[in-house]
Amino acid sequence: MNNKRQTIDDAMKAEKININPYQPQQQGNYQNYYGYNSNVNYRYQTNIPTQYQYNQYYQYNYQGNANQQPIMQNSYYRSPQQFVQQTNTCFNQQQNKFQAPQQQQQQFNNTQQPLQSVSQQLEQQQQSQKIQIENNNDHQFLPPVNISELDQPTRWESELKVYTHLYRKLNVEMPNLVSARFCNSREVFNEQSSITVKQYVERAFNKCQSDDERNIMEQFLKATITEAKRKNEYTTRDWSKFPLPTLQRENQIRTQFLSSNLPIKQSTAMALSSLGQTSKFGAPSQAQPSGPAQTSTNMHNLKSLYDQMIQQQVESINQNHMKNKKIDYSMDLAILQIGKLQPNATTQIKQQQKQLKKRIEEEDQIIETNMKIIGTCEDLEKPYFRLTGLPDPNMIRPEHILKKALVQLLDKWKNCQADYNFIIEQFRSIRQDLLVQHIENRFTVQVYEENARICLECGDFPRYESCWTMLVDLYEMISISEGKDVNLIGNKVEFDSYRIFYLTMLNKQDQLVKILHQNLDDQRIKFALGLRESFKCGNYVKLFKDYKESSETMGSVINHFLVRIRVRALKQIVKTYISNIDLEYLADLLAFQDVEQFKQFMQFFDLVRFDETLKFLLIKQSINAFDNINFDKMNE
Amino acid sequence: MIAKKSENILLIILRYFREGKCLEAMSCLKRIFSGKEQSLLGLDIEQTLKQLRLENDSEACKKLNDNARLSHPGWVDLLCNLLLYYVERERGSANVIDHFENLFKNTKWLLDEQRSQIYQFLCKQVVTEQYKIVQIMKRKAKDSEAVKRASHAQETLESKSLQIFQEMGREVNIKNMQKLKLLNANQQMKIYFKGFKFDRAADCDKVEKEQNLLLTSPKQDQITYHYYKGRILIFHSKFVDASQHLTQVLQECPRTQKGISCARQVLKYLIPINMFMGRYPKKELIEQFKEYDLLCTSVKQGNIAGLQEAIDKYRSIWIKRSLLILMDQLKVLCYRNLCRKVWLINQKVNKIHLNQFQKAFRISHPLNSNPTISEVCCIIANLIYLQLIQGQIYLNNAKEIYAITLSQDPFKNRPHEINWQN
Repeated sequence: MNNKRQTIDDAMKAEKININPYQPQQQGNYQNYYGYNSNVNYRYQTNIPTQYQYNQYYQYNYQGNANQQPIMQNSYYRSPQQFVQQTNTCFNQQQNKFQAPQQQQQQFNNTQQPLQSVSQQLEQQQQSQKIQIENNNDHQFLPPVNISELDQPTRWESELKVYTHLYRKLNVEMPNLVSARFCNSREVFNEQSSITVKQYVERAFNKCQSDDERNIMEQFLKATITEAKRKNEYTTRDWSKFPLPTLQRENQIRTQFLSSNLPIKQSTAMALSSLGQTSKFGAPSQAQPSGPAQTSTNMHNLKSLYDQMIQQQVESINQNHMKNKKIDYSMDLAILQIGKLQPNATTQIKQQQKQLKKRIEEEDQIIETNMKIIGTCEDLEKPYFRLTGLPDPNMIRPEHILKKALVQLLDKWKNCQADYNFIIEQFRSIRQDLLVQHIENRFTVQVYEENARICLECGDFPRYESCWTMLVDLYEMISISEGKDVNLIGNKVEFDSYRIFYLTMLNKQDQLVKILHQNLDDQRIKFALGLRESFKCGNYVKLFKDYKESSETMGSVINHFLVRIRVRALKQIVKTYISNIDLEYLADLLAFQDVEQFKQFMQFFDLVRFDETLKFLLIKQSINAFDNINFDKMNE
Repeated sequence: MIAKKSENILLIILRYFREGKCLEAMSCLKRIFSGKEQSLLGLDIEQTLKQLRLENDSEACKKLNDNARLSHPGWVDLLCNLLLYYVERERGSANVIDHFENLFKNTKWLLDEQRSQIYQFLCKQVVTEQYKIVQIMKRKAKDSEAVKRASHAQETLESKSLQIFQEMGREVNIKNMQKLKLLNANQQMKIYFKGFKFDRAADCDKVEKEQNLLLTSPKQDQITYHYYKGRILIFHSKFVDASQHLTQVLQECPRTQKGISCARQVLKYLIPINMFMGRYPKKELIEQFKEYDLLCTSVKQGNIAGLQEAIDKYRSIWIKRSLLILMDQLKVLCYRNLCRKVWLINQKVNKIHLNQFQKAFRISHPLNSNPTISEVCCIIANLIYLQLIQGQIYLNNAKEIYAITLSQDPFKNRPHEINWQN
C-alpha cells in the first residue's frame, strides 16, 4: 500500500498538480469508503493530467500517445454532444443499468459555461445544488474525458481512468474502483447490503486484470448475489469465506506456477507473459506503444524488449566481473541505465506472484474447510471398498458408531467368531472412515493399536509395518497437541517393546536406536532388551525361558520368529558339536513340547540325518543342513 | 532517521557483493549481527530493512535505495533476505528457514563462483542455526503451548532444511561444484543423525559412488565425512572399518580448541570400538572419560557383573550416544575373555570340562544365581560359531558330562576379524 501511495505522490509532484482548494471540505465529508459519489463534490477539473501510467488497470501507456499527438494534448474537454455519445455507447453495452446519461446531461447543463470565467460564489452555489442532486438521485456520475487519449476505450477503462484521476487529485488512497462502482449500483445492492458482501465483490474484482474478465466476473457476481437473495442466504452467508470462481487465466498460471522450477530470469519473463500485464514501472519510460489498437503487438514488443534488456544486463555484469575487479561506477551506471528497471520490475512481479500464491492457498483452504465430512451411516459392520471419488456421507460412519463397531469387532476376535480376513477388512473400513473424516485422536490411536496387535499376533508383518508408521505419526501428533510426554499416549511403550524385538530379529540396528532413545526405564522395554541380549549372545536357554514368561502379544510375536531362532540355534549346534546329540535334549533346549514335534520340525530340512533308532541327531552327516536356509522365506 | 554510518556499511557490503567477494560480505554481516561491530556502525536492522524494502519514504532513504538499486541490481534483494534472516534469528523465530529458502532461490541468477560461496555459507549456517533457534524457543517457552510450538518448529525446520539441501545437492551436481558436494552430503547426514534416521543417512553417502570425491574435497569436509561414515558403520557391526574412519578423524583433527572438542566427540565412539580390536584405553585417557572406566576393565577381565553394572549405571549416556546396542556385542567379548582366562588357568590344555566354565560364569556374575550347564553350553557354542574360540563341544553319552576340545591356540582370532552379522 505504501508503494502505491508513494507513486501517486510522486506523480503529483511530477505533474505539479495543485491540490484542489476544496480538498479539506471534501475530506471532511469523505466518510464512506465506497460511497464517494454520494458525499463528495466532484467538479470538472481544470488540469486533467495526460499520464495514467500509474493506473494498475491499464494495459497500455498513454504517455507515448500523448506525446505523439501534442496538438490534442490541451483539448481537455470535448463538446457535450461528443460526451453524451461517448457515454451512451458505454452504457448501452450495459443495458442502461445506471440511467447515467440523463443525469449526466443534467449536470452537464449546469456546468456548461467555461470554468475559468466562473466566480467563486457561483461555484459554491453550483456545488450545493449538485450535492442536492446527487443526494436525491444517488446515481452514477461521469465527468468528461479527454477523448483524444482514449482512442476507443472500453466501458471500464473510461470510468476507471476518471476515477483514478479524481482520487489522485484528492490525494486519497484509491479503492478498487470497479468493485466500488459495482457495489454502488442499486440494482444489486441496497442500503442494508453488508460490508462483507462489498468486500467479497472487491476481492472478486481484484482478481481480474482485463476487461473481459471483469465482465465475466460481473455476470458471475450478479448471478451469485441474486441466487443468495433467492435462497434467503444473503445476510447469513459467510461472504468472507465464500469461494471465488477461478478464471481461465488463473488456471493456466496456477499450473505453470506450480510446475515451474525455472531460474528467476525465465520465470519473471514467463510471469510477465502469463499475467498479461506489463509491469507498472517497466512500461512507461522504455517502451513507447502507439495506441491501444496495437495492444497485442505492443505486449509482444515489450516482452522481447524486456528479455533483451535482461540479457544485456546479465552479459554486461558478467563481463564486468571477468575483466577486472576494480569497479568503475560510472561504467556501472551506464550499463545499468539500460536495465535500470529490472530490480523494480522483478520485485513487482514477485509481489504479484506472492499475491497469486496466497490467493491460491486461501482458496485451497476454503475447499478444505468445506470438504469436512461427518458421516451419517450407522452400520456397525461395513465392507471395505477403495474410494475412487469423493466420499459419500451416507456411507461413512461417525465416531461414536465407530467406537461401537470397534468394541464389537474386538469381541468377535476374542471369541473367535470371525476369521482374520474379515477382521482385517473391518479394520480397513474403520480406518478409512477415520481418515476421510480427519479424526486424529486417542480413539484413532486405539484403532491402529488394536489393528497392529492383531497383525502381530497373526504374523502379518507388512500390515503391521503400515500400522506402525501411522502410529508413530499419531503418537507424536497427539503428544504435541496435548502437551504430554510421548510415552504416555496409548500403549506406546508396549508397542515399542514389540518393535525392539521385531527389529532385532530383522537385524535392523539403526532403527532401534531411535526407539531406545525415547524410552529410558521401563520394565517392558528392559524385557525386550533382555530378549535381544540373549539372542545376540546365543543364550537360547534364557531366551526360551523368557518366551514362556512373556505376555500374550509378545509371546505371539516371538512365536512368529521361533523358526528363525530355532534354526539359528540348530545351525550353531550342528557346527560346534562333534558328538551325536540326544533328540530329547535338543527338544528340551529348543522349547518343543515333545520329541515328536521336534521330529516334525526337522522334517522340513532335507539334509538332517538321524540314527536308526531315531534317538540321536547325527551331527557330522547333517553339518550343512542349515547352510542355505533363507530366513525371509521361512516366515512366509 | 537513518544513521549515516549504516548507510556506509550497507554500501560496503554491497560493494563486496558486487566485486564477487560474497564470503567477505557475509562475514561482514555476520560480524555486525554477532554484536562485535554493532556499536561501531550503529546499524539499525529494522530501519535498514524498511529502507531496503521500499517501506520508508523519507528522502534520504529513497535516495540511498535508488542508488543501491541502480548500482547493485539483484544484490539488494539478496541483502534484504540476509538481513531478514538475521532479524528473525534475533527474534528466535522459526521463520528463519523461509528466509533461507528465499536466499537459496534468489541466488539462481548469480555466477557459479559467487553461488558456490553463498551455498557454502548456507550449508554451514542452516543446520547449526536451526538447533540453536529451537533451543532458544524452548528456553523462552513458559507454557505448554509454546513448548508445543517449539517442537513443531523443529519438525518443520528439519524437513524444510532437508528439502533445501536436496535441492541444493541437485544444483551442485548439475553445476559440478566439486567442493560443495561433500559438504552438502555431510549436512544432510547431520540432519538425519539428529533425527535418528540412520538408515537414511547411509543413503547420503556419495563417496561410495564417486571415488575421487574424498580427495578433491576440502580437509574439514573429509574429516566430517569420516566421522559420520564411522558412526554408520558401527550400526552395521563393521568395527574394523568404523575404527579406521574414526581414527582418521582423530589424527587429522587440528590441535585447536574446536579440534580438541571434536576429538573428544570421536573418542566417545572410538574407545568402545577399539575394544573389539583388542586395544584398551590407557589410564590417561580413561581419566577424561570416566564412564568408560568400569566398562573397559570389566570387558578386559571378563567380569560380567561389572559390565552389567557399567551398562546399567550409565544407561542414559549409552542411549544418548546410541551405543546401547553395542553393549550386547561387548558382552560377547566379555564372555570370550572369561573363557580365555579359564583356558589359561587350565594351563592351555586341549580338553576342558564345561563344569569349569560354569564355575567361572558363576564367579563372574554372582547375581545370575544358577547358569545351567546347557546355558553355558549355548554361550560357548555361540562363541565357537562366531569363531571367537576355535574348538568343538563334545557331549558324552553318559549325560551331564560335557567337554570342550580346543585347538592349539583357540583364541588367536581377534574379535574384530569375525563376522558379527551371522
